[in-house]
Amino acid sequence: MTFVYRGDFLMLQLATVLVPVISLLVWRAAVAAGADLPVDQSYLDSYFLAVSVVSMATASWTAPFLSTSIRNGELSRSLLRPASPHLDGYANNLGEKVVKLALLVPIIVVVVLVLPETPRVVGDPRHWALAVVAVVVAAVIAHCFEIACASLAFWFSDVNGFLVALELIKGVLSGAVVPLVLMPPALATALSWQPFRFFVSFPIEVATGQVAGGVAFGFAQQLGWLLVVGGLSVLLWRTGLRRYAASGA
Amino acid sequence: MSTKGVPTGGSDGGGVIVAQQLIKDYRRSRQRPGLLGALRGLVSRDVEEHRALDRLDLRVEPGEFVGLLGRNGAGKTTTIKLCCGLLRPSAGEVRVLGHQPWRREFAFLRRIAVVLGNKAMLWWDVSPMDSYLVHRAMYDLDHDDFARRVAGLAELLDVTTVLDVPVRQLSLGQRMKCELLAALLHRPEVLFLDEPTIGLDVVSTAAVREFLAEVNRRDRTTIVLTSHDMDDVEQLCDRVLLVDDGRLGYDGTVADLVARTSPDKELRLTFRHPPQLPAVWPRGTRMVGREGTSVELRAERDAVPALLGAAAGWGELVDLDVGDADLDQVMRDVLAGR
Repeated sequence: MTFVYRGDFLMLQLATVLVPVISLLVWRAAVAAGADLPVDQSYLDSYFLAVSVVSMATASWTAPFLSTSIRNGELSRSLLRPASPHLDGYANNLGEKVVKLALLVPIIVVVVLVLPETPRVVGDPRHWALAVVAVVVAAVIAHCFEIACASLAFWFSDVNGFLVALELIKGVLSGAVVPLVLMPPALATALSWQPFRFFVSFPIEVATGQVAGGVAFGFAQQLGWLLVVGGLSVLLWRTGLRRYAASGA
Repeated sequence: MSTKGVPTGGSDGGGVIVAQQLIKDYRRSRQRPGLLGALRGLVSRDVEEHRALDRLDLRVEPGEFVGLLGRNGAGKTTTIKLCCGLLRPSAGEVRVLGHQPWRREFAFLRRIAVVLGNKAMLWWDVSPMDSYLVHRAMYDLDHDDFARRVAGLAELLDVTTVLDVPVRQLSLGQRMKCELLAALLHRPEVLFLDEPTIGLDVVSTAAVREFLAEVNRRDRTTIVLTSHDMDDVEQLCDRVLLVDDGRLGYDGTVADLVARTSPDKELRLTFRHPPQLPAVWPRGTRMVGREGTSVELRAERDAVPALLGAAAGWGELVDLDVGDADLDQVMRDVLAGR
């Protein structure tokens, strides 16, 4: 269904690269203005190049649709079929990622070739392989997180305001807007433990070979969050479904 | 209600749908009107429990075509939602095909189908055929059987030419027919229909009714229908269940419901010349209208033979029409508590 609305699809494609590009331009301007950063220009180029791929590959936009379907009763359609009610969300997210990656990767390759210095993410193949695993786990956590947030609609009906606020917080704490290494050092420990780090920043840290606390410990933390968020989403969904009122029919 | 207390029908064992002492409570909030009310709502909210079903007992046997009737908010749609697993009972029990519907086991969902008149089951942005292909995968249907089934049902419903048109571009009638086609692809044993003819024109309504009657007769599909269109109910249903205030108020045939609620017969007598009507009407008879050479009477069933005998003496009788009150009138009487 991704191809049904061509204009909408193109805008979505553009939006995927827009945020990292704007962030990169802002940080470049800061460096040009003489900002004293703990990382160099090349790191920023590499980082935001990776953000454009990783944030797209791990992002899930299920919560607004799922919560709306709970509120207006559209969820009934999925509940009446002999398949997971989340099948639609899985299929849409996977389909979207395949299509977007197919279009985004050639753009990234061109950018890498055009940039004066070879970005740091183009490096050790072992890092790349581990980064792919981190991206897949991050995508699963992100999707479970979206289902958990959407499930709140069983109790609060309209959660869209909450979701918008969460999106802003997620943008900052995941490292999609600001690399976490540029955050105040006093917050370093807290930032390294919070779940949103494992949505975007952690896979990039793995790709660049710069994981705070080591790769193995980082993966242990990510798997820990997978269990917590996954368990929470199952609990909230199952408990919430008992309250479903199937409104509107 | 005049029909309360009528024993509910059905025998033990073998029921496709069996509900016992079924209760469903909803929580709903009351909102104060206006800006001030909205601001007060931020601080305190009035939430109340609303009992939609109150110890409802019902039973549907295999192959029956049953109509669920009742006023708005009586509990008809809630009953359907409980039977197909969308809602979980607050108390009591409902079993459909031996399953507890709220568990929504795939083995159960494969055996039922639901058509909600005001909720699309087909995907809006793609053609019906694309939705059917997803349906085929979901229900694991044999490819050849699927193709034959789609072609056969599409021909019966006269939608062959629109199967590749996006659903959003179909007329209401075409969409409803395509919804019915989707619902029947996997040969469900029980079909729940909630207002399937709502908003349809006369031609589409007739086509849908004919199709449903055929499905019930040919495949022995058990069908439970809610409709505000009494013609739907009268033409299709073997039995009606009247739900009132969340309880079963009547369980029986349409004819029995009419007979119980409006026991009088309606007669229209047409004479060749203006008739000489009696000053005193026979016992149990009253005139409800007179126009030219025709007289409309309402008479108790037992009084009809004597009335017809007497009518021969009022003039030369050229036409006679005897019937029951129609279901629309009956429902108006029932719902008004008469």
